[in-house]
Amino acid sequence: MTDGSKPIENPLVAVFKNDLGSKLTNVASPRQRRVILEATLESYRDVIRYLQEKLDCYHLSLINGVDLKTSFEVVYHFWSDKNGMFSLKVPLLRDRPEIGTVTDIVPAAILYEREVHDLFGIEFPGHPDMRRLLLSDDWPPGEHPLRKDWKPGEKKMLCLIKSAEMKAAKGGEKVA
Amino acid sequence: MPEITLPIGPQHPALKEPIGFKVTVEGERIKRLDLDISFNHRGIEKGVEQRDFTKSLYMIERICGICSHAHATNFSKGVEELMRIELPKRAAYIRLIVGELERIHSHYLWLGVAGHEIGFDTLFMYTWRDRELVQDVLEIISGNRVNYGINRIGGVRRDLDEKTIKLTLKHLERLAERAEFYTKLATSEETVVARLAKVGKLSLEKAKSLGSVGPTARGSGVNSDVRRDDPYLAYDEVPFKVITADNCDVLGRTVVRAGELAQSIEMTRWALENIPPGDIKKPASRTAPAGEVVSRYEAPRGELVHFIKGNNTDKADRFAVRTPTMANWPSVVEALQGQNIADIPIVVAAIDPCMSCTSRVTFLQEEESKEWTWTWDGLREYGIRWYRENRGISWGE
Repeated sequence: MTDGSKPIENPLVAVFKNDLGSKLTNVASPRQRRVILEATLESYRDVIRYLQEKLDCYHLSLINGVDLKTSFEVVYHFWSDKNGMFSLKVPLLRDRPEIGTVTDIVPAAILYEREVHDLFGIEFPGHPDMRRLLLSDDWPPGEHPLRKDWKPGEKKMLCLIKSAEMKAAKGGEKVA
Repeated sequence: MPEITLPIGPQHPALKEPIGFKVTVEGERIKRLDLDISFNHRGIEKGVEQRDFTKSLYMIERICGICSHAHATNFSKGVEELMRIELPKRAAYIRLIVGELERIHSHYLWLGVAGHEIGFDTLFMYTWRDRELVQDVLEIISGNRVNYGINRIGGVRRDLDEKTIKLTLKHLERLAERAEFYTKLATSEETVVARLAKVGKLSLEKAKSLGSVGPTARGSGVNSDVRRDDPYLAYDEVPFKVITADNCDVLGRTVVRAGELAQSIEMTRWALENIPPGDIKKPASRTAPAGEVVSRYEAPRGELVHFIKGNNTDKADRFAVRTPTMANWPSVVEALQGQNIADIPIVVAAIDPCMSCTSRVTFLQEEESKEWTWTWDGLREYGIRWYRENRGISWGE
């Protein structure tokens, strides 16, 4: 149920500030069963372990990337039946989009990290099997469609096949 | 015995949607499995960033043809949360009713597909006949058999009148009878039990750590349901039980779905009888304030997550989707280890995979930027050449 009220007082916010202190750069609870956390590249693994061990977050719902134009953000969404959803944001530098894999502590991350790598070009060093997930095998390297500066058609790279191959496939019917 | 790698798919008779498997076998036993799901990326997340919320809603409804309402409702409730609109009670009930009817049709469809995969085609005929009743009801309520388009930001498009409610209740009676029959069938029919029990094992611990959702997780004893644990719409008012099974195999997943059929029918009946009067929509602004929302929904296949980021404009700055099927793939890889090759179709079908099919590919030529479409012969020729060059497979030409 949506509710139009102001941010609520969630007792967990104080618990986080007490237990994790400087490991978190921001904690907020926009509504019941939702907490948004922000950590750094140095501390995110500790925060994930804390969520798993102390708050019973057994389920990783999603990892998604966000392009903030000047930087990137990777958001991990953990669910606990008792405590709700915890969204952990980790900011990354634009020119060094890289964050260590969490597949060793969260096995469910295996496909989600591949998806973010595919669509945003964010590297996950230590991932056991970093191949393309959603884009086709012959998608040009270095093209990451969900980046804000990637526009379909603009770079003439929308085609999935190289032009030489295309010329060979004469069966194509041209549409002006 | 040496290991052999079998390529199965992306087009194959076992599943109707494109997915490639690379199965490493030793004799009949599966040692390893590799999945390729890259055949149908349609770029909807990018598309949503370029369209306003109303247009996005209709596009998002087309992410899936079977659980379209799940996507549309999840997106609308997320955007409403961002815009701080309180949904009218009656609209919440109508969304819930359509959502549960959708679950009924989806589970009937799945039972049929599962029956087909184990060579029990009578079950397929039965369930798909009964599914027509739900489809009819959905058409009467929304005007459409699929992609119902009942949602709008701030409410629903159509109200329910007395006649529709009466007719739906009548159909539900028949559906409830049939659901009872299928529950009995799933738990006691000898051929079903013999074929499904101990196939596709997935332990409770693995189901949790691999992030399984929905009936796949509940069939392994994970007691979790978004409708109960993170209530939305009117799920905190409608009474229902969360069905779990501790078989940890395909039979468990079947028992859960059959049980959920009965629950959904009961929930729809309760909601139709107790639907409150009032408005069905509230005016919504065109723009959403800056902020982030994580919207969750219990789709027929499990937890569906949308991440929506607003930036004070009429478009979403970022829209991310995690469909239940994506969450369940790692569990398929786990469940197929040590199984027979013949179990692949039913173990894969047991998560009720949904690859979303319709896509029309347009190619842009690199140097001239002219659009073109494939002819059938051209595409076939390209496919044959691609497989010869990349996979070393010759088709004898």
